[in-house]
Amino acid sequence: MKTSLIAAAAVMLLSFGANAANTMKPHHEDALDCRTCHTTKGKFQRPEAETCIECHGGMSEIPTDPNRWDKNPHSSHHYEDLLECTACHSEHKASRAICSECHIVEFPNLK
Amino acid sequence: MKRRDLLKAAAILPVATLGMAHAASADKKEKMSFDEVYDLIIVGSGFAGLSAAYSANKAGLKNILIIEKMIAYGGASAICGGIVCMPGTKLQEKHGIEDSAELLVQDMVKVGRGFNHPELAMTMATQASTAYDMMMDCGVEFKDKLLRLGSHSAPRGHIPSNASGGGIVVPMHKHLLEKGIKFQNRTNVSAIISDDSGVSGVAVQTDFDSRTGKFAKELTYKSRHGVVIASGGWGSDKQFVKTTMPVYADLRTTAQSGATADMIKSLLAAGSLPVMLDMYQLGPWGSPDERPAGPGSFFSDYAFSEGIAVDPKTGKRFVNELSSRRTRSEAELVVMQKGTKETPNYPFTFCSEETTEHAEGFHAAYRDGAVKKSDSVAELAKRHGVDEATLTQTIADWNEIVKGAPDPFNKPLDVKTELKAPFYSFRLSPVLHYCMGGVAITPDAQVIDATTCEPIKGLFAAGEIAGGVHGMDRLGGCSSIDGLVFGQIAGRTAAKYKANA
Repeated sequence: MKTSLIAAAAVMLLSFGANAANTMKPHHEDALDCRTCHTTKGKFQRPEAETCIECHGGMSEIPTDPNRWDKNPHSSHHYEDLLECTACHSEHKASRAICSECHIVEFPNLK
Repeated sequence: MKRRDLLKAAAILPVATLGMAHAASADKKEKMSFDEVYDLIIVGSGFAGLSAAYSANKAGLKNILIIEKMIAYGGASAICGGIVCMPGTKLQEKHGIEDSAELLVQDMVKVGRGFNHPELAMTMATQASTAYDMMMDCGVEFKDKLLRLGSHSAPRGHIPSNASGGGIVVPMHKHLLEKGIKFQNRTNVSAIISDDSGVSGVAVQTDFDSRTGKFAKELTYKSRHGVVIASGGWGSDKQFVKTTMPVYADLRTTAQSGATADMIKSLLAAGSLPVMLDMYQLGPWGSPDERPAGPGSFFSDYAFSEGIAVDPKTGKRFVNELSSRRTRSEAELVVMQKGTKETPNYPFTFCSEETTEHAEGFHAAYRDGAVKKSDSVAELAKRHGVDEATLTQTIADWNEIVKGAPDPFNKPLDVKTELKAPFYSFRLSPVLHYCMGGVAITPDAQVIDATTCEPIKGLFAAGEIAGGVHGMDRLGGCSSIDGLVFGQIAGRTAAKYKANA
């Protein structure tokens, strides 16, 4: 068992290089590969907000679910639509709402 | 260009090498090459930075870059309440309010305890109308009412229609994008670069992560018209606050996490003259029951204005609730000192339901639990540990004042609201809010050299990073107008500056 796990890991390392450890969101896994979002040549860079918006639409098209503290970051009176998607949403690590720096927030469905 | 080569080029004055500045300047003649070139670089994307870009663009500069260290644009300006105190606007005229720049300066000097640099205070007040015009041009909308904040002799607080600084910075940001101004976030300025002719650019770290300090590349950007620093204060820089003002070391702060001392250090390293770096403003509307500058602080401006604030130990009012932020904060600290860690004595402000109906922030503060409802004097007294009979008398006394009896504290009353149950109360505990000090500037926003007391060529500063406008403390709703006015001035002065053009 142990050997086969290591072997599997080695195969993954070979096929995906340094990013082998990077997980993807379940709804992305089937449809996307690395280059769907990392479109620039050479070293991977953080995708522009437009990359997300192409499929998901802009913030105004994705209302935040009703939540305990009535917060609606996709219609924030501080930033409106000037925030980049990656300000809060991450693909390869846990997402983190930047409003939590100042506000009490609770977004059970934050992706 | 590698950092090592940069230092060799020696046109740079990094923070850590303040003591080496003179040795470095000997090498200045070596020609420096830059990775990117702009007409004007502005550091910071809040009120001051946006205003600088607006006026520089009006003055004809095209290739303007606004640099922001954080992911989110707008800094403190985007997250503040957005109240702008301006005398003599059309809105004041519409509401029949008599006011003038001179009256505002009088208020500023009183609150600043005379420490204000008079020319700077006068410049801010007399040019406030240009900020109003700029905001109108950018599509900013204000509510159809004016708020009198503490120690202002007239209601002159203009409130953005969405009751947030975002109601100002977002339309301005979008207006500037339409004009072709470039914005670059996640970019840390690590040093101000100068050559023989003056300040000529900045060294930056791109893709900067403010939480870890990691970045992708170190680059140098040339700015033909000098550099405008509009980077705000350093309220969240614990070490710098503690070092400059030890007794404020443990105060919570309203500053966002990006408000560090990096730019003030870079400015000092570039030879700027500091003024009042140890002066900080405390916000009297802080509360132990919410994070600093939460919604309750906006609500409490109304409670201070139409209700009263009480010391639980005495059951009586202890300050003019519309006195300056410093007077109120100091009075609150005295009240708090009567308590102990086990049994704290937090002062509280409260008002009637009628007041809550038009107070921004009330809904959220009540929902989140910072503002509490009491259905009777007995309940209010019990909640705050006050003697019920004394509190009943204090409320009765206040209601006489509302009817016309003299107020021993002389609070101005624009709205006369009788205090009656149900009451809505909010505990108070001052928070560190604003850096009064900064670099010394001229009335045209040129940064002053510490060794010559003359302007440094090509270095301009506006907003919280500059000191002196307000003296040792400031009025509410006046840092916004400070940034908006001096930002515009800095942009105009930079546009005229030709040394590197």
